[in-house]
Amino acid sequence: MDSIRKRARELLEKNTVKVVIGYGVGSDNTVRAIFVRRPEGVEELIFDETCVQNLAVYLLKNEIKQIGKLCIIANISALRTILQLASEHQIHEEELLCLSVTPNGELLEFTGFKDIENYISSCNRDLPDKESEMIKKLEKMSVDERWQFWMNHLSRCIKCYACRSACPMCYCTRCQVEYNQPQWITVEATLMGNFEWQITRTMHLAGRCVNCGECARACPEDIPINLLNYKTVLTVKEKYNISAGTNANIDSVMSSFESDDKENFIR
Amino acid sequence: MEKPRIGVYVCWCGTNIAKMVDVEAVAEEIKNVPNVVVSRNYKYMCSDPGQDMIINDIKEFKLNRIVVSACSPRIHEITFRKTLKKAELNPYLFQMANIREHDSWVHTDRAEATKKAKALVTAAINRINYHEPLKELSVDINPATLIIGGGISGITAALEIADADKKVYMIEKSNKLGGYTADIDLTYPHLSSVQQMLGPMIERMKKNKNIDLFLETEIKEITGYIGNFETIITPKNDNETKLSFGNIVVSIGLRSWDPSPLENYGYGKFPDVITSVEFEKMLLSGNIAKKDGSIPKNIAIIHCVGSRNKNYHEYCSRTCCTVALKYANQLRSAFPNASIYELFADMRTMSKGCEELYTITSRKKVVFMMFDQENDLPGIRKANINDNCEMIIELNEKRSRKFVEVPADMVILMVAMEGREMVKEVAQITGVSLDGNKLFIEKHPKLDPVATTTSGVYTVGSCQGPKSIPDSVSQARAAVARILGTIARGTAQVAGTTAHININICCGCQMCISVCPYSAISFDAEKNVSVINEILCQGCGTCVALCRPNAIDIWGCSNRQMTAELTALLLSD
Repeated sequence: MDSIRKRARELLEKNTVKVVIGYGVGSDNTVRAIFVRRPEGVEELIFDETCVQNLAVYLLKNEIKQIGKLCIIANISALRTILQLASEHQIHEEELLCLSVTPNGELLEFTGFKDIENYISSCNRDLPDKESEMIKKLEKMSVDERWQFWMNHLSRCIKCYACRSACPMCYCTRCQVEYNQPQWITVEATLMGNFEWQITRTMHLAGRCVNCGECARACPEDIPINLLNYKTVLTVKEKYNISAGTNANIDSVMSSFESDDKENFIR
Repeated sequence: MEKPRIGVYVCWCGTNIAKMVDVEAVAEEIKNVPNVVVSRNYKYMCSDPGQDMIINDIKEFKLNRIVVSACSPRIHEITFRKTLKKAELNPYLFQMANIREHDSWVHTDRAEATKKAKALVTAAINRINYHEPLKELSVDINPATLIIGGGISGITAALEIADADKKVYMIEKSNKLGGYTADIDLTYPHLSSVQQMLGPMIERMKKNKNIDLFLETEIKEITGYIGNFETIITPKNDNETKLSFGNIVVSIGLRSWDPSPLENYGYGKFPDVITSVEFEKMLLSGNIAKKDGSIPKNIAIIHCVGSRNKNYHEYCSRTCCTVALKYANQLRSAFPNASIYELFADMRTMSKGCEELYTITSRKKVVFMMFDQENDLPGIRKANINDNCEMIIELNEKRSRKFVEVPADMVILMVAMEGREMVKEVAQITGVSLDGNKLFIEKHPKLDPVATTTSGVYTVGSCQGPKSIPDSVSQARAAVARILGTIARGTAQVAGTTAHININICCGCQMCISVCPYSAISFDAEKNVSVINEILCQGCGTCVALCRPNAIDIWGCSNRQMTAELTALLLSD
């Protein structure tokens, strides 16, 4: 923690960066995002195993971008997000600097995407055990049982779109739910409308989700919507051998093809 | 937008539609749909009286939208757009409802078919409410043509264009013209000399002042669009040259397949197992002999080597059966007493005169044996000393259902034709799509076989699918007819139905760029948005489907129009 504060102070003092996005103490024993702009502010920074939130979500906010060069205290999810956002041309190498700490307390500083790629390739990128088991359980269910599982959960969705706000990949200027001519997705929080929204969200994130789990953590109704995304993560890995957030120049599953693709899945 | 005043015209198509659809009832009921001012039915809407009826109604009733409910828009959409133009109405204020292919031709219950016709017409009316006048762009045509590949197809096209006194740039990768044709001895089925045909053509190529020939030259990139393409080439021993041209002919041909993976035929293992291409060269040199220089006494020709085989090439290479018959004839002339065997899977002697060649060959003491291409290919092994031959072909003869051992001193493998090594690059450079077999895809397999989905780019000859010389020549001449037509008009109209980007919504992820099959989208780094080239864009909609924030839409096929049409269909009973 001290090493992070020390380095953050240096960066701010030397004006190398204009702001450090990191973790600070929140209310009720939680951690929250803090934005440190003055050197003395670094004393508020913390970094430990409770800092699970994916701070990369703030990188694309206009208010943040306008400040100038950024430093972000990044956990593995945030680092992977940064690579994926780079693949999607949303952030550029010179715009930010990343600090992180390894599990054994060593301070890491990434100046380029290549550094991040190298570090990520040595990290565990598997889905969390609990979620992996849950997906296996869902896969074993009959179609009817699975349908019932999701209907039970989605009936609680209040369409607050917290999942969308928390997701660092949901950066569209205008979300598809906000169109009314034509109206793609039902506005009210009714069962089918909730279903439409979650399926759309899942498909829009297919091949892009870095399994940070932020959507499920943000959900006030405790709906395990991250499972929908995790299933696509597994499918994309299995079918196309692509893992989002491992490379700054990754092909998008939805927009890449080979001219000699056999298309033998079309019957 | 002015209030829509819609005219609806239900066509009988003689009895094609009227037999299965109550066209009068459809026209009558449609009158009640909002914004419909006139609704009529007529025997042939595409006829002159039919089109005049529309023109008169547009003037008399001040119609500003026209729906014709008839055949497929692929057939008559252009016809009726012209009708609207004649009546001084924007041609895009038009929609066709297909009640023939989608309805009368495919149904047997008249009441149900009539109901469906009403639904289809109502949907078209709902959609046309949202049609807007669109602009067509006009581009000038540079009269020069670039031809990539100097085989028989490319040469034919080049001479044809040059003879019409238009400029041709011929790019050939190798150091000579002629392609595979230059290695062929005799034609089939006429058995006349290929070189006597090709030689004078190549001479004419060299002498023609309208043809600039670039041998040992490759194309790296082509920019531009129909009428206005450009490339920079570096010919051997020469400086960079910039070429400008209006049309492109791709005629890179195919290559012969290396049959080594089919181990049962022992190519590479037995010296006298050779490919058809190697044998053709032998014929051309006039010396048919085994590797050791001796004369073969037993010669077997094996068909379908790597063709019609799911593991290698699923397609038929089309020419090999008849070429194999040609070989049997040439071998019989060379060696009157040799044993000649044709081992075939199916004898496919299509084209004029080819079946006759089979009949002639079968009377020349040639033994025909059939094998099972799917489950039971023949195998070749080395013969024993007392077998009196080099090799033995083991074969389960399909018709007699008997196991046969065929003696052979020379085996000719009729190898498949496949895409050349650089085919993917050429496809990418010219903006033409390849199918899964690395063959170029035509714009329409039946109605537009030499054009491609990129305007101004044509593919001819075997690069589009294995072909004989006459078929390749026909295609080359067909493409030239199109090109000379375009040059004669001097301009090309580019359809107004293109994609457009809302730059306030585009978030610059650039995914649309990688999916565009026409390379029509580029990136404006300053504004951080994608930009569509309206001339290259063909309005296919792939980018629309991909764009998550819906920043892209298609003029004339907007999300609004599509949902209006679909809503009407889904609400119909």
